[in-house]
Amino acid sequence: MTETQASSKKGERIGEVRCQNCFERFSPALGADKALCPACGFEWLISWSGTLAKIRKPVWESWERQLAQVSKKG
Amino acid sequence: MALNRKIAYVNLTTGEIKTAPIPVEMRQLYLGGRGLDMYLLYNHLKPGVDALSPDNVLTVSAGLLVGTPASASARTHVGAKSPLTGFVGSSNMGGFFAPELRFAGFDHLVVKGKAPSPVYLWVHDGEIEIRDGSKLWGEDVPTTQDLIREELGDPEIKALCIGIGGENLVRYANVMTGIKNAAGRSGTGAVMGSKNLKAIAARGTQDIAIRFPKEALEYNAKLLEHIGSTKFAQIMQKWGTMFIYGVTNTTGLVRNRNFQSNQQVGGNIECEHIEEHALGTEGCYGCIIHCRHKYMIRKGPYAGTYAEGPEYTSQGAFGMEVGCNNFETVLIGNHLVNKYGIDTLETGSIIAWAMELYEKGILTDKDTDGLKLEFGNDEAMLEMIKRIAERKGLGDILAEGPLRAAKKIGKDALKYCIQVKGMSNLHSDERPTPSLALGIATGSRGSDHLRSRPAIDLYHLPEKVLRSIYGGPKPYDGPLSSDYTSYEGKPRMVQWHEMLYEAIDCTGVCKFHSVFLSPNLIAFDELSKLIYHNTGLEFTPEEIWDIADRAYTVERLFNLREGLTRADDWLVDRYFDEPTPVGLPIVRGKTLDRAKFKQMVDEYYSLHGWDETGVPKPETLKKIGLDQEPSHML
Repeated sequence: MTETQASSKKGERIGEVRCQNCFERFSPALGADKALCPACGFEWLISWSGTLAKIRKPVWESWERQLAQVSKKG
Repeated sequence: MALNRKIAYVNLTTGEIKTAPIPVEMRQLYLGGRGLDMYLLYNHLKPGVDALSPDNVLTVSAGLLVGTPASASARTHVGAKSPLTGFVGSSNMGGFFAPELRFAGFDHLVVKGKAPSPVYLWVHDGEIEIRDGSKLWGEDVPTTQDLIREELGDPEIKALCIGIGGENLVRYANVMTGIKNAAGRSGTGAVMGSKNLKAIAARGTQDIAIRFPKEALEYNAKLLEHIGSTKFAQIMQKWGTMFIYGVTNTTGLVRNRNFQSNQQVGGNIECEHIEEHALGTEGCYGCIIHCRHKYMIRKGPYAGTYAEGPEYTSQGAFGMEVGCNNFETVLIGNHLVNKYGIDTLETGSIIAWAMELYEKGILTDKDTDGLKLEFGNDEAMLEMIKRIAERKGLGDILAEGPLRAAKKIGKDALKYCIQVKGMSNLHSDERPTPSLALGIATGSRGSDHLRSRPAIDLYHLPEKVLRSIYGGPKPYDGPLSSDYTSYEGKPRMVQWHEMLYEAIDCTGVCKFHSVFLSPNLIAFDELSKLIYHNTGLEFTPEEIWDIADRAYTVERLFNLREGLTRADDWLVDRYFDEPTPVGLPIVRGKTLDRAKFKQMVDEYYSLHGWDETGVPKPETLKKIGLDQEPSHML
């Protein structure tokens, strides 16, 4: 069993999402509809099924500004 | 037992039907399903035949594990020479038909010739009849199946059929079962239409004896517990394949406005919208995931219509590609293509292409009979679906598929067409992802995300995880890269998934239960155990790879016999010349590099034991036992 399989089986990642910009995993507050990636600062809309978290889409209204910010950070 | 199902040869011209057992030796070489179908096609089809003539051969089959306790063992495979590409036509679908075909005593049907008038086949408990299908001709997909059940007086009958798309020989017409299960992409529905074969109905009561029932049930229970515990399964249960849109559109890995953008900025058709329309979810035979939504269209001229799906492909086809940004439009488009029995992906792609041609003035109002075929014009897009299925006006030209349509339209039409081997690409943009690009360039049935796509390459998995997956079952110690924009080691990933998907398709287990969208699911080791417990056939994981290799090479031989060259394993110039304009930083400004891509194709051929022209070397054929093909053993 791979490391990914093992952690997946334990259900560790059910409440986690993976930032689509920098690939870091983080856990949004349960039920929150938005979350900031602690690593790169990108903001995501979150959807939930019970305790299962999923990135829904970007906050399009601030999309270009956020892209400019992450480009600046390099 | 699971191995005693028969093969039937049906000649629609003469009405002759012959049945025969399937020797266990053929199972050992090809398992069943797609693998054995490809053997049958290669052996029964004469090279160079017109795909829409009576000389084409249609195969319909159930995979080796269909109807057993193996997880999601429901897939029906349909094969023929593709009227879209002229190469291998091969598609499979879920639902309940394949298990019923097995319960009726058959694993493979080989249909030849052409009936003088519309017919359907009735397969029941070891018997096959050719019945008058004239009352069914002209009916849509769900109605056809209902009428068959009514005529034969059994609500438990399962049927596959064509809609008006197949009757009208739309070159990307599907074979369908249920409301939305589609054997799509290859135009096998048009092959059925060309044979005047409207449907195949099945009903059976024959048990499938399992070789080691206790072990089979225990192993499957363990496997299901594991599958159900994965995050992937839980997301699929809630949102189906539509969840993929959230990742790919956000990143900038989709085709938008044909190929002019790689992201639908402001996109608002994500999977969560299904919750406003869903009536619940449905599963295929033996599946715990239930990824298929049942839904009701709420507004507009189709209000009150019941439908199922949509899949991610319909979000692309009737959303991003055509510049529409309304989830309701996706639901209607999905309903229409399934009702008419035409391929969702091909339909959306070809309309998106026509929209770009209209935008550039290559198509005009005169060509469209006044239809404003503009990106984002939902009504025009939905109208064009209907015109394609009915072959009216420009729809008649688009029904011919991209290459034939480009020839008819002329000017620079072909330049804007996004296709491989005459099959439109998925609504994904592979410019930033060399592995995915290689997969669609080399896929045996044309541009294809279901033949070899290493989708988990997008997950940036650590190298040691990649090594644990791609290092076996045939040893591989070459490079592997977690970076999906890299060219390193990607040919191995493509080959590995090619072999896994071929093996899975031979068994009839759903690809979504395998290492396709999740690294945690079924691969060669698990297949080895599933096959042994259910059938008693013993294969090591390496031997399953060899079977897949053999079956895949037969597809290659088929294509080469039909005129395939290395130039067909390539992408259109736009992939190399036009950089991606938007998306996250990792995918912006990307094109494919011609020299590196050529090297990837070389490496991919080498991994297969093919020469630099893409032809299997004599020693390769000998090693996998194909040096005497066609061998006519069935």
